[in-house]
Amino acid sequence: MFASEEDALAAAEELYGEYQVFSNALGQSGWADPTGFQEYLSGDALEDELDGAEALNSKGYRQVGDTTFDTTSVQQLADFGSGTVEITIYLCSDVTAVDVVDRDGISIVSAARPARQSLEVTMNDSEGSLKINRRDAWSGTSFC
Amino acid sequence: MVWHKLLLILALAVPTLLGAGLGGGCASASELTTGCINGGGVDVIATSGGPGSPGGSGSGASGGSAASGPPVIWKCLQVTCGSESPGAAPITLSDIASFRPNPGVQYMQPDGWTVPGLDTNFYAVTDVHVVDGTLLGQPASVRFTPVGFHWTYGDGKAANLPTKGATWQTLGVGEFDSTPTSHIYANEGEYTIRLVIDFAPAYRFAGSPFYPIAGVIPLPANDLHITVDGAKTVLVEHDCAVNPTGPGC
Repeated sequence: MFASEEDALAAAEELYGEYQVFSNALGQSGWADPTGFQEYLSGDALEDELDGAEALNSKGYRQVGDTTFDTTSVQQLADFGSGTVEITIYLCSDVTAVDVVDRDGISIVSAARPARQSLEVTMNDSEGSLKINRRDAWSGTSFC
Repeated sequence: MVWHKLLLILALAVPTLLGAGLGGGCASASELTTGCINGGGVDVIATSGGPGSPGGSGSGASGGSAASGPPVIWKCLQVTCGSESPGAAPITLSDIASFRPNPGVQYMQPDGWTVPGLDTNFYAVTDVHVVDGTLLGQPASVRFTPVGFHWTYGDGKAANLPTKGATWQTLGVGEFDSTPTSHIYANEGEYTIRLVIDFAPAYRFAGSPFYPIAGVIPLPANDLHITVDGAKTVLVEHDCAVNPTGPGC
């Protein structure tokens, strides 16, 4: 499906970027309608985000500012035949500019929250189009 | 199983606080608020030292506490949903700041002097030790293991070594023999030797095994001062009858 690792990374970055834009907008709306995640997420990643959005929305929380990402690299590229591919990438997620506030506008963010996190993100196209199906904290040495 | 026990302990200790968190279901909701990103685990947010309603100091990862009320410590503990192992320890270096390792002590052979061009043997006395205290409001222990030894010899040279070294006698070698932690001064002079020991921490709550904490705690040992003098001068200045510990006696 991809001519090169560069092409795979470009596709992964594009998808993650779209997911990030949606996720930021959703948070800034108070996590009102997370169903749009289905366009970018599947499996565990989708379940996590839907549950998370519900929990945040039920408490009346709202996101201020945008999460960004950088420092992407391909960890693994797998072709399962019949056109199904899986891409795993590393990236740094940055929440420096993000606050989460309650109904009174009071921040509920922990002072200990790290500004940057190393993530391992897996995507596959088993549902026809490329979607993120796992998005985990990288437990190895931080690369962010 | 250990993680479920830990959850139970915390739930009993801070029953009002779990409700303040975003727990429930394998959700990633706490990612933006605590930085905890689950990998198939349940995020349980426990706090200590604060009122029931969570406080905070605004966005960003800078330190500090809420403007009103005592500081609130958030900690997200990952409790496994399925068969996944606990993974990265949820406790970080900042959580164990109140636990302090015992500093090591460095020594040298010969004691306080040496000769240019010969090996001077430096070694540290330190070992694995356990410090008891309180972590997230619960009795806990932190174990410190010395893992890195950073010597600066005062002559512009330095060494980062994995071993603390030992005396010539313990190593079964002769005086001025090379050891894994010895150093040769090229020139005469007065030098100060500094040692920083890295301690790798691990923590445990009562009844559970130790879990490693990422990172190390560097802690300076004592300074040593050495006179590096010409061999001829050293040898003629000492009389074994007067100074039985002098060189060659």
